[in-house]
Amino acid sequence: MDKINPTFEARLQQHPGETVRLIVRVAGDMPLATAGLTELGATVLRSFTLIKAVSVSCSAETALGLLQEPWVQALEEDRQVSTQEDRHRGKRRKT
Amino acid sequence: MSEVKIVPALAARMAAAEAPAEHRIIVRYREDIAVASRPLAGLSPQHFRLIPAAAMRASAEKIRELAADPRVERIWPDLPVHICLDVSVPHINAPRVWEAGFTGRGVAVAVVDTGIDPSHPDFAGRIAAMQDFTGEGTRDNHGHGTHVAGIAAGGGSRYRGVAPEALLYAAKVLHGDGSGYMSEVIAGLEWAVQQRVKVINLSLGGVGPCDGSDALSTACDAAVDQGVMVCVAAGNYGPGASTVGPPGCARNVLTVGACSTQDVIPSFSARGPTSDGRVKPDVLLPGVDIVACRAQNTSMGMPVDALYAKASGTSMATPHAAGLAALLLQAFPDLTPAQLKERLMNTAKDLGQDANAQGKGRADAYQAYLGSSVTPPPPPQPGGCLLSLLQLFRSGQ
Repeated sequence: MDKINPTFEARLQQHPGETVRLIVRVAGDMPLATAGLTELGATVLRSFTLIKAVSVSCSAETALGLLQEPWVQALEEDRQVSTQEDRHRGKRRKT
Repeated sequence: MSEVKIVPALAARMAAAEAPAEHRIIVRYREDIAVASRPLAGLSPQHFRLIPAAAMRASAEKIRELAADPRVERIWPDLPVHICLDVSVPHINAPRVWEAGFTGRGVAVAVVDTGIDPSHPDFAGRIAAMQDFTGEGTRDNHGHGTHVAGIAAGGGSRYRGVAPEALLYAAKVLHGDGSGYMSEVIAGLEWAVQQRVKVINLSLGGVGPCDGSDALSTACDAAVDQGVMVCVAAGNYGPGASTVGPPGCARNVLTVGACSTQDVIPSFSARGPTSDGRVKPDVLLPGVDIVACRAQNTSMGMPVDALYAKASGTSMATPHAAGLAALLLQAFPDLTPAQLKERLMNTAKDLGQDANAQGKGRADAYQAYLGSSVTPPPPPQPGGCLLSLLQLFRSGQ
Protein backbone atom coordinates (compact mmCIF):
# COMPACT_ATOMS: atom_id res chain seq x y z
CA MET A 1 0.00 0.00 0.00
CA ASP A 2 1.31 3.46 -0.89
CA LYS A 3 1.84 5.83 2.01
CA ILE A 4 -0.36 8.42 0.35
CA ASN A 5 -2.58 8.77 -2.69
CA PRO A 6 -0.53 10.69 -5.31
CA THR A 7 -3.43 13.02 -6.15
CA PHE A 8 -3.85 13.92 -2.49
CA GLU A 9 -0.11 14.39 -2.10
CA ALA A 10 -0.09 16.79 -5.05
CA ARG A 11 -2.93 18.77 -3.47
CA LEU A 12 -1.00 19.06 -0.21
CA GLN A 13 2.06 20.27 -2.11
CA GLN A 14 0.04 22.88 -3.98
CA HIS A 15 -1.61 24.27 -0.84
CA PRO A 16 0.93 23.87 2.00
CA GLY A 17 -0.89 26.33 4.25
CA GLU A 18 -4.26 24.60 3.98
CA THR A 19 -5.60 22.95 7.13
CA VAL A 20 -6.49 19.34 6.46
CA ARG A 21 -8.13 16.50 8.36
CA LEU A 22 -6.26 13.22 8.07
CA ILE A 23 -6.48 9.62 9.15
CA VAL A 24 -2.96 8.45 9.91
CA ARG A 25 -2.24 4.75 10.15
CA VAL A 26 0.68 4.02 12.40
CA ALA A 27 3.01 1.17 13.28
CA GLY A 28 4.20 0.32 16.76
CA ASP A 29 3.03 1.76 20.03
CA MET A 30 -0.12 3.91 19.76
CA PRO A 31 0.58 6.30 22.68
CA LEU A 32 4.07 6.91 21.28
CA ALA A 33 2.67 7.59 17.83
CA THR A 34 0.06 9.96 19.25
CA ALA A 35 2.76 11.84 21.12
CA GLY A 36 4.88 11.96 17.98
CA LEU A 37 2.05 13.41 15.94
CA THR A 38 1.51 16.12 18.51
CA GLU A 39 5.22 16.87 18.59
CA LEU A 40 5.23 17.28 14.82
CA GLY A 41 2.47 19.89 15.01
CA ALA A 42 -0.69 17.87 14.38
CA THR A 43 -3.77 18.13 16.60
CA VAL A 44 -4.95 14.64 17.52
CA LEU A 45 -8.74 14.41 17.26
CA ARG A 46 -9.34 10.71 17.90
CA SER A 47 -7.38 7.52 18.44
CA PHE A 48 -8.89 4.28 17.23
CA THR A 49 -8.72 0.74 18.50
CA LEU A 50 -10.45 -1.14 15.69
CA ILE A 51 -7.56 -0.18 13.42
CA LYS A 52 -4.19 1.27 14.41
CA ALA A 53 -4.93 4.79 13.32
CA VAL A 54 -5.38 8.33 14.58
CA SER A 55 -7.42 11.17 13.16
CA VAL A 56 -5.66 14.52 13.17
CA SER A 57 -5.95 18.08 11.96
CA CYS A 58 -2.84 19.86 10.68
CA SER A 59 -1.43 21.99 7.90
CA ALA A 60 -0.72 20.39 4.56
CA GLU A 61 2.96 21.12 5.10
CA THR A 62 2.90 19.20 8.39
CA ALA A 63 1.07 16.35 6.67
CA LEU A 64 3.83 16.09 4.10
CA GLY A 65 6.37 16.05 6.89
CA LEU A 66 4.60 13.10 8.53
CA LEU A 67 5.33 11.03 5.46
CA GLN A 68 9.00 11.03 6.40
CA GLU A 69 8.34 9.29 9.72
CA PRO A 70 9.01 5.54 9.60
CA TRP A 71 6.19 4.82 12.06
CA VAL A 72 3.64 6.48 9.75
CA GLN A 73 2.38 3.63 7.60
CA ALA A 74 -0.17 5.53 5.57
CA LEU A 75 -1.90 8.85 5.50
CA GLU A 76 -5.23 9.64 3.87
CA GLU A 77 -7.69 12.47 3.82
CA ASP A 78 -10.44 12.18 6.43
CA ARG A 79 -13.08 12.28 3.71
CA GLN A 80 -16.70 13.16 4.17
CA VAL A 81 -19.39 10.53 3.83
CA SER A 82 -23.11 11.08 3.70
CA THR A 83 -26.49 9.40 3.92
CA GLN A 84 -27.42 7.38 0.88
CA GLU A 85 -31.05 8.31 0.37
CA ASP A 86 -31.85 9.39 -3.17
CA ARG A 87 -32.57 13.08 -2.64
CA HIS A 88 -33.23 13.77 -6.32
CA ARG A 89 -35.95 11.17 -6.48
CA GLY A 90 -37.70 12.68 -3.48
CA LYS A 91 -37.58 16.14 -5.07
CA ARG A 92 -38.93 14.87 -8.38
CA ARG A 93 -41.83 13.27 -6.58
CA LYS A 94 -42.60 16.38 -4.61
CA THR A 95 -43.18 18.47 -7.67
CA MET B 1 -79.78 0.59 -1.39
CA SER B 2 -77.87 3.65 -2.60
CA GLU B 3 -75.94 3.81 0.70
CA VAL B 4 -74.71 0.26 0.06
CA LYS B 5 -72.85 1.55 -2.99
CA ILE B 6 -70.67 3.71 -0.76
CA VAL B 7 -67.99 1.46 0.70
CA PRO B 8 -67.80 1.50 4.52
CA ALA B 9 -64.37 3.16 4.60
CA LEU B 10 -65.72 6.12 2.64
CA ALA B 11 -68.97 6.24 4.61
CA ALA B 12 -66.94 6.45 7.80
CA ARG B 13 -64.87 9.31 6.40
CA MET B 14 -68.02 11.15 5.39
CA ALA B 15 -69.53 10.72 8.86
CA ALA B 16 -66.42 11.80 10.74
CA ALA B 17 -66.74 14.90 12.91
CA GLU B 18 -63.84 16.59 11.12
CA ALA B 19 -64.78 15.42 7.63
CA PRO B 20 -63.37 17.59 4.84
CA ALA B 21 -65.69 19.59 2.61
CA GLU B 22 -64.73 17.37 -0.31
CA HIS B 23 -63.58 13.80 -0.60
CA ARG B 24 -61.40 12.20 -3.25
CA ILE B 25 -63.44 9.34 -4.67
CA ILE B 26 -63.42 6.72 -7.43
CA VAL B 27 -66.80 5.99 -8.97
CA ARG B 28 -67.49 2.76 -10.81
CA TYR B 29 -70.24 2.86 -13.43
CA ARG B 30 -72.31 0.18 -15.09
CA GLU B 31 -70.46 -1.39 -18.02
CA ASP B 32 -73.08 -0.23 -20.53
CA ILE B 33 -72.86 3.46 -19.65
CA ALA B 34 -70.89 5.55 -22.16
CA VAL B 35 -68.27 7.92 -20.80
CA ALA B 36 -70.30 10.91 -21.99
CA SER B 37 -73.32 9.67 -20.05
CA ARG B 38 -71.56 9.12 -16.76
CA PRO B 39 -73.02 11.14 -13.88
CA LEU B 40 -70.31 13.26 -12.31
CA ALA B 41 -70.06 15.03 -9.01
CA GLY B 42 -67.12 17.35 -9.49
CA LEU B 43 -64.98 19.21 -11.93
CA SER B 44 -62.13 17.67 -13.92
CA PRO B 45 -62.91 14.01 -13.47
CA GLN B 46 -60.22 11.56 -14.51
CA HIS B 47 -61.84 8.81 -16.59
CA PHE B 48 -60.23 5.38 -16.69
CA ARG B 49 -60.25 3.17 -19.78
CA LEU B 50 -59.20 -0.09 -18.19
CA ILE B 51 -62.23 -0.13 -15.96
CA PRO B 52 -65.58 1.75 -16.19
CA ALA B 53 -64.69 4.31 -13.55
CA ALA B 54 -63.60 7.87 -12.90
CA ALA B 55 -61.77 9.63 -10.10
CA MET B 56 -63.03 12.98 -8.84
CA ARG B 57 -63.55 15.17 -5.78
CA ALA B 58 -67.04 15.50 -4.33
CA SER B 59 -68.88 16.70 -1.26
CA ALA B 60 -70.69 14.20 0.94
CA GLU B 61 -74.00 15.42 -0.42
CA LYS B 62 -72.89 14.89 -4.02
CA ILE B 63 -71.57 11.45 -3.18
CA ARG B 64 -74.98 10.47 -1.84
CA GLU B 65 -76.58 11.80 -5.03
CA LEU B 66 -74.20 9.72 -7.10
CA ALA B 67 -74.95 6.65 -5.01
CA ALA B 68 -78.64 7.12 -5.71
CA ASP B 69 -78.02 7.17 -9.47
CA PRO B 70 -78.77 3.79 -11.13
CA ARG B 71 -75.80 4.25 -13.50
CA VAL B 72 -73.42 4.12 -10.56
CA GLU B 73 -72.38 0.75 -9.14
CA ARG B 74 -69.86 1.55 -6.42
CA ILE B 75 -68.01 4.49 -4.82
CA TRP B 76 -64.62 4.07 -3.14
CA PRO B 77 -62.38 6.54 -1.34
CA ASP B 78 -59.38 7.41 -3.54
CA LEU B 79 -56.72 6.52 -0.99
CA PRO B 80 -53.05 7.43 -1.16
CA VAL B 81 -51.01 4.41 -2.21
CA HIS B 82 -47.48 3.78 -1.03
CA ILE B 83 -44.98 1.07 -1.49
CA CYS B 84 -44.13 0.70 2.14
CA LEU B 85 -42.75 -1.60 4.73
CA ASP B 86 -45.83 -3.78 4.69
CA VAL B 87 -44.97 -4.42 1.04
CA SER B 88 -41.16 -4.59 0.98
CA VAL B 89 -41.00 -6.73 4.11
CA PRO B 90 -43.42 -9.37 2.75
CA HIS B 91 -41.62 -9.10 -0.59
CA ILE B 92 -38.45 -10.47 0.99
CA ASN B 93 -40.53 -13.05 2.90
CA ALA B 94 -39.61 -11.84 6.38
CA PRO B 95 -43.10 -12.61 7.77
CA ARG B 96 -42.55 -16.28 6.97
CA VAL B 97 -39.52 -16.23 9.23
CA TRP B 98 -41.59 -14.48 11.93
CA GLU B 99 -44.13 -17.30 11.61
CA ALA B 100 -41.32 -19.74 12.30
CA GLY B 101 -40.78 -17.90 15.58
CA PHE B 102 -37.94 -15.52 14.75
CA THR B 103 -38.47 -11.77 14.92
CA GLY B 104 -34.93 -10.73 15.81
CA ARG B 105 -35.90 -10.72 19.48
CA GLY B 106 -33.01 -9.54 21.62
CA VAL B 107 -30.49 -9.40 18.76
CA ALA B 108 -28.46 -6.20 19.10
CA VAL B 109 -28.43 -4.06 15.95
CA ALA B 110 -26.46 -0.81 15.75
CA VAL B 111 -27.59 1.95 13.44
CA VAL B 112 -24.52 4.10 12.79
CA ASP B 113 -26.17 7.12 11.25
CA THR B 114 -27.86 10.44 12.16
CA GLY B 115 -29.26 9.05 15.43
CA ILE B 116 -32.66 7.58 16.24
CA ASP B 117 -35.70 9.41 17.58
CA PRO B 118 -36.27 7.58 20.89
CA SER B 119 -39.75 9.05 21.24
CA HIS B 120 -41.03 7.22 18.18
CA PRO B 121 -43.60 4.66 19.37
CA ASP B 122 -42.31 1.99 16.99
CA PHE B 123 -39.10 1.70 19.04
CA ALA B 124 -40.70 1.77 22.50
CA GLY B 125 -38.57 -0.06 25.03
CA ARG B 126 -36.08 -1.33 22.46
CA ILE B 127 -33.41 1.37 22.25
CA ALA B 128 -30.64 -0.03 24.42
CA ALA B 129 -28.11 2.79 24.08
CA MET B 130 -27.36 5.98 22.16
CA GLN B 131 -24.04 7.77 21.69
CA ASP B 132 -23.14 10.99 19.92
CA PHE B 133 -19.91 11.45 17.95
CA THR B 134 -20.81 14.71 16.22
CA GLY B 135 -21.09 17.17 19.09
CA GLU B 136 -24.73 17.80 18.18
CA GLY B 137 -26.24 15.47 20.80
CA THR B 138 -27.92 12.14 20.21
CA ARG B 139 -31.16 13.58 18.81
CA ASP B 140 -31.84 12.67 15.19
CA ASN B 141 -31.97 16.16 13.70
CA HIS B 142 -32.00 14.85 10.12
CA GLY B 143 -34.44 11.93 10.07
CA HIS B 144 -32.35 9.46 8.10
CA GLY B 145 -31.25 7.28 11.02
CA THR B 146 -34.77 6.99 12.38
CA HIS B 147 -36.05 5.93 8.96
CA VAL B 148 -33.27 3.37 8.61
CA ALA B 149 -33.90 2.02 12.12
CA GLY B 150 -37.61 1.69 11.31
CA ILE B 151 -36.84 -0.46 8.27
CA ALA B 152 -34.47 -2.70 10.21
CA ALA B 153 -36.43 -3.01 13.42
CA GLY B 154 -39.54 -0.83 13.59
CA GLY B 155 -42.27 -2.48 15.63
CA GLY B 156 -45.29 -0.60 14.34
CA SER B 157 -48.54 -2.26 13.40
CA ARG B 158 -48.83 -0.30 10.15
CA TYR B 159 -45.21 -0.22 9.04
CA ARG B 160 -43.33 -3.08 10.59
CA GLY B 161 -39.62 -3.49 10.06
CA VAL B 162 -37.80 -6.68 9.13
CA ALA B 163 -36.76 -7.59 12.69
CA PRO B 164 -39.44 -5.91 14.83
CA GLU B 165 -38.17 -7.22 18.16
CA ALA B 166 -34.46 -6.52 17.73
CA LEU B 167 -32.62 -4.29 20.22
CA LEU B 168 -31.38 -1.00 18.80
CA TYR B 169 -28.15 0.88 19.44
CA ALA B 170 -27.83 4.34 17.92
CA ALA B 171 -24.45 5.88 17.13
CA LYS B 172 -24.88 9.42 15.83
CA VAL B 173 -21.98 9.95 13.43
CA LEU B 174 -23.65 12.07 10.75
CA HIS B 175 -24.58 15.68 11.35
CA GLY B 176 -27.92 17.41 10.79
CA ASP B 177 -27.06 17.92 7.12
CA GLY B 178 -26.60 14.17 6.66
CA SER B 179 -22.82 14.22 6.32
CA GLY B 180 -19.87 13.45 8.54
CA TYR B 181 -16.22 12.49 8.48
CA MET B 182 -14.94 8.98 8.04
CA SER B 183 -13.20 9.33 11.41
CA GLU B 184 -16.54 9.96 13.11
CA VAL B 185 -17.99 6.85 11.47
CA ILE B 186 -15.00 4.77 12.60
CA ALA B 187 -15.55 6.07 16.15
CA GLY B 188 -19.21 5.02 15.94
CA LEU B 189 -18.22 1.59 14.63
CA GLU B 190 -15.84 1.12 17.53
CA TRP B 191 -18.51 2.06 20.03
CA ALA B 192 -20.93 -0.40 18.46
CA VAL B 193 -18.37 -3.20 18.62
CA GLN B 194 -17.68 -2.34 22.27
CA GLN B 195 -21.44 -2.61 22.94
CA ARG B 196 -21.18 -6.20 21.62
CA VAL B 197 -23.82 -5.70 18.96
CA LYS B 198 -24.25 -8.51 16.45
CA VAL B 199 -25.20 -6.39 13.43
CA ILE B 200 -24.10 -2.93 12.29
CA ASN B 201 -25.98 -0.95 9.65
CA LEU B 202 -24.11 1.67 7.63
CA SER B 203 -26.48 3.43 5.26
CA LEU B 204 -23.79 5.90 4.31
CA GLY B 205 -20.81 6.28 2.08
CA GLY B 206 -18.57 8.36 -0.09
CA VAL B 207 -17.94 8.64 -3.79
CA GLY B 208 -16.30 5.70 -5.56
CA PRO B 209 -14.41 4.05 -7.01
CA CYS B 210 -12.48 2.41 -4.20
CA ASP B 211 -10.50 -0.73 -3.50
CA GLY B 212 -11.33 -1.34 0.15
CA SER B 213 -7.97 -0.17 1.49
CA ASP B 214 -9.21 3.15 2.92
CA ALA B 215 -9.39 3.54 6.69
CA LEU B 216 -13.19 3.29 6.94
CA SER B 217 -13.41 0.15 4.81
CA THR B 218 -10.53 -1.37 6.77
CA ALA B 219 -12.30 -0.56 10.05
CA CYS B 220 -15.48 -2.22 8.75
CA ASP B 221 -13.52 -5.36 7.91
CA ALA B 222 -11.95 -5.24 11.38
CA ALA B 223 -15.43 -5.14 12.92
CA VAL B 224 -16.36 -8.22 10.87
CA ASP B 225 -13.19 -9.91 12.14
CA GLN B 226 -14.51 -9.32 15.66
CA GLY B 227 -17.69 -11.23 14.87
CA VAL B 228 -20.04 -8.44 13.82
CA MET B 229 -22.14 -8.60 10.68
CA VAL B 230 -21.69 -5.26 8.90
CA CYS B 231 -24.22 -4.26 6.25
CA VAL B 232 -23.17 -1.34 4.05
CA ALA B 233 -24.94 0.69 1.38
CA ALA B 234 -23.48 0.35 -2.12
CA GLY B 235 -24.21 4.04 -2.67
CA ASN B 236 -26.43 6.05 -4.99
CA TYR B 237 -23.92 6.94 -7.66
CA GLY B 238 -25.16 4.48 -10.32
CA PRO B 239 -25.75 3.44 -12.99
CA GLY B 240 -22.14 3.80 -14.17
CA ALA B 241 -19.56 1.07 -13.62
CA SER B 242 -17.31 1.19 -10.53
CA THR B 243 -19.51 3.63 -8.67
CA VAL B 244 -19.59 1.76 -5.35
CA GLY B 245 -17.95 4.06 -2.81
CA PRO B 246 -16.30 3.52 0.56
CA PRO B 247 -17.04 1.67 2.76
CA GLY B 248 -19.13 -0.35 0.27
CA CYS B 249 -15.96 -1.74 -1.27
CA ALA B 250 -14.80 -3.33 1.99
CA ARG B 251 -14.05 -6.99 1.40
CA ASN B 252 -15.91 -8.70 4.23
CA VAL B 253 -19.00 -6.56 4.68
CA LEU B 254 -22.31 -7.29 2.98
CA THR B 255 -22.66 -4.55 0.37
CA VAL B 256 -26.26 -3.84 -0.48
CA GLY B 257 -27.69 -2.38 -3.67
CA ALA B 258 -31.29 -1.36 -4.19
CA CYS B 259 -34.17 -2.85 -6.14
CA SER B 260 -37.87 -2.11 -6.30
CA THR B 261 -40.55 -4.43 -5.00
CA GLN B 262 -40.92 -5.51 -8.62
CA ASP B 263 -37.25 -6.58 -8.47
CA VAL B 264 -36.17 -3.86 -10.88
CA ILE B 265 -32.80 -2.21 -10.22
CA PRO B 266 -33.10 1.59 -10.09
CA SER B 267 -30.53 3.62 -11.97
CA PHE B 268 -29.21 5.24 -8.77
CA SER B 269 -28.03 1.95 -7.25
CA ALA B 270 -24.22 1.92 -7.51
CA ARG B 271 -22.50 -0.71 -9.60
CA GLY B 272 -19.24 -2.61 -9.31
CA PRO B 273 -16.61 -3.68 -9.82
CA THR B 274 -14.36 -2.22 -7.15
CA SER B 275 -11.22 -0.57 -8.46
CA ASP B 276 -9.29 -3.77 -7.67
CA GLY B 277 -11.72 -5.79 -9.73
CA ARG B 278 -14.04 -7.41 -7.18
CA VAL B 279 -17.76 -7.87 -7.77
CA LYS B 280 -19.99 -5.53 -5.77
CA PRO B 281 -22.72 -5.15 -4.59
CA ASP B 282 -23.20 -8.53 -2.90
CA VAL B 283 -27.00 -8.54 -2.86
CA LEU B 284 -29.98 -6.31 -3.56
CA LEU B 285 -32.88 -5.45 -1.28
CA PRO B 286 -35.86 -3.10 -1.66
CA GLY B 287 -34.88 0.55 -1.62
CA VAL B 288 -37.48 2.36 -3.70
CA ASP B 289 -40.31 4.38 -2.14
CA ILE B 290 -40.00 2.83 1.29
CA VAL B 291 -42.29 4.20 3.99
CA ALA B 292 -40.82 3.95 7.48
CA CYS B 293 -40.42 5.89 10.73
CA ARG B 294 -40.10 9.66 10.69
CA ALA B 295 -38.19 11.50 13.39
CA GLN B 296 -39.90 14.40 15.13
CA ASN B 297 -39.40 17.79 13.49
CA THR B 298 -37.62 16.39 10.43
CA SER B 299 -38.60 16.29 6.78
CA MET B 300 -36.21 13.79 5.21
CA GLY B 301 -37.75 12.20 2.11
CA MET B 302 -41.47 12.77 1.70
CA PRO B 303 -43.37 12.94 4.97
CA VAL B 304 -46.48 10.75 4.91
CA ASP B 305 -47.81 11.86 8.29
CA ALA B 306 -46.40 12.82 11.68
CA LEU B 307 -44.85 9.40 12.24
CA TYR B 308 -43.82 8.14 8.81
CA ALA B 309 -41.96 9.27 5.71
CA LYS B 310 -41.20 7.80 2.31
CA ALA B 311 -37.66 7.64 0.96
CA SER B 312 -35.56 5.81 -1.62
CA GLY B 313 -31.92 4.85 -1.84
CA THR B 314 -29.43 2.15 -1.03
CA SER B 315 -29.75 3.66 2.46
CA MET B 316 -33.21 2.10 2.57
CA ALA B 317 -32.10 -1.23 1.08
CA THR B 318 -29.31 -1.75 3.61
CA PRO B 319 -31.44 -1.94 6.78
CA HIS B 320 -33.56 -4.62 5.12
CA ALA B 321 -30.32 -6.64 5.13
CA ALA B 322 -29.49 -5.69 8.72
CA GLY B 323 -32.96 -6.76 9.87
CA LEU B 324 -32.64 -9.96 7.91
CA ALA B 325 -29.30 -10.66 9.57
CA ALA B 326 -30.96 -10.15 12.98
CA LEU B 327 -33.67 -12.69 12.12
CA LEU B 328 -31.11 -15.27 11.10
CA LEU B 329 -28.91 -14.62 14.12
CA GLN B 330 -31.83 -15.25 16.44
CA ALA B 331 -32.49 -18.50 14.61
CA PHE B 332 -28.83 -19.49 14.25
CA PRO B 333 -26.81 -17.61 16.89
CA ASP B 334 -23.58 -19.42 16.04
CA LEU B 335 -23.41 -18.19 12.46
CA THR B 336 -20.25 -16.19 11.81
CA PRO B 337 -20.50 -13.00 9.72
CA ALA B 338 -18.85 -14.84 6.83
CA GLN B 339 -21.34 -17.70 7.04
CA LEU B 340 -24.22 -15.27 7.30
CA LYS B 341 -23.02 -13.32 4.28
CA GLU B 342 -22.56 -16.50 2.29
CA ARG B 343 -26.02 -17.73 3.27
CA LEU B 344 -27.70 -14.47 2.24
CA MET B 345 -25.85 -14.42 -1.06
CA ASN B 346 -26.32 -18.08 -1.94
CA THR B 347 -30.05 -18.03 -1.29
CA ALA B 348 -30.73 -14.75 -3.11
CA LYS B 349 -33.09 -14.73 -6.05
CA ASP B 350 -31.12 -14.33 -9.27
CA LEU B 351 -32.69 -11.48 -11.22
CA GLY B 352 -30.69 -12.31 -14.32
CA GLN B 353 -28.80 -9.03 -14.26
CA ASP B 354 -25.08 -8.33 -14.46
CA ALA B 355 -23.25 -9.46 -11.32
CA ASN B 356 -21.91 -5.95 -10.82
CA ALA B 357 -25.46 -4.61 -10.73
CA GLN B 358 -27.25 -7.30 -8.72
CA GLY B 359 -24.52 -9.22 -6.90
CA LYS B 360 -26.05 -12.62 -6.31
CA GLY B 361 -29.54 -11.20 -6.64
CA ARG B 362 -32.32 -10.03 -4.33
CA ALA B 363 -31.98 -11.51 -0.87
CA ASP B 364 -34.87 -13.54 0.52
CA ALA B 365 -35.40 -13.94 4.26
CA TYR B 366 -37.23 -17.26 4.15
CA GLN B 367 -34.83 -18.94 1.75
CA ALA B 368 -31.92 -17.69 3.83
CA TYR B 369 -33.64 -19.13 6.90
CA LEU B 370 -34.12 -22.45 5.13
CA GLY B 371 -30.60 -22.23 3.79
CA SER B 372 -31.71 -23.37 0.37
CA SER B 373 -31.73 -21.70 -3.00
CA VAL B 374 -34.79 -19.81 -4.01
CA THR B 375 -37.88 -21.47 -5.35
CA PRO B 376 -40.65 -19.13 -6.42
CA PRO B 377 -42.67 -18.30 -3.29
CA PRO B 378 -46.40 -17.52 -3.39
CA PRO B 379 -47.08 -13.84 -4.05
CA PRO B 380 -47.04 -11.72 -0.90
CA GLN B 381 -50.27 -10.40 0.57
CA PRO B 382 -49.64 -6.71 1.15
CA GLY B 383 -52.30 -6.42 3.81
CA GLY B 384 -53.69 -3.05 2.98
CA CYS B 385 -50.81 -0.86 1.95
CA LEU B 386 -50.08 -1.51 -1.66
CA LEU B 387 -53.58 -2.08 -2.92
CA SER B 388 -53.64 -1.33 -6.57
CA LEU B 389 -56.71 0.06 -8.14
CA LEU B 390 -57.37 -3.23 -9.87
CA GLN B 391 -57.06 -5.12 -6.62
CA LEU B 392 -59.61 -2.78 -5.11
CA PHE B 393 -62.04 -3.39 -7.90
CA ARG B 394 -61.53 -7.12 -7.90
CA SER B 395 -62.05 -7.38 -4.17
CA GLY B 396 -65.01 -5.06 -4.15
CA GLN B 397 -63.83 -3.63 -0.82
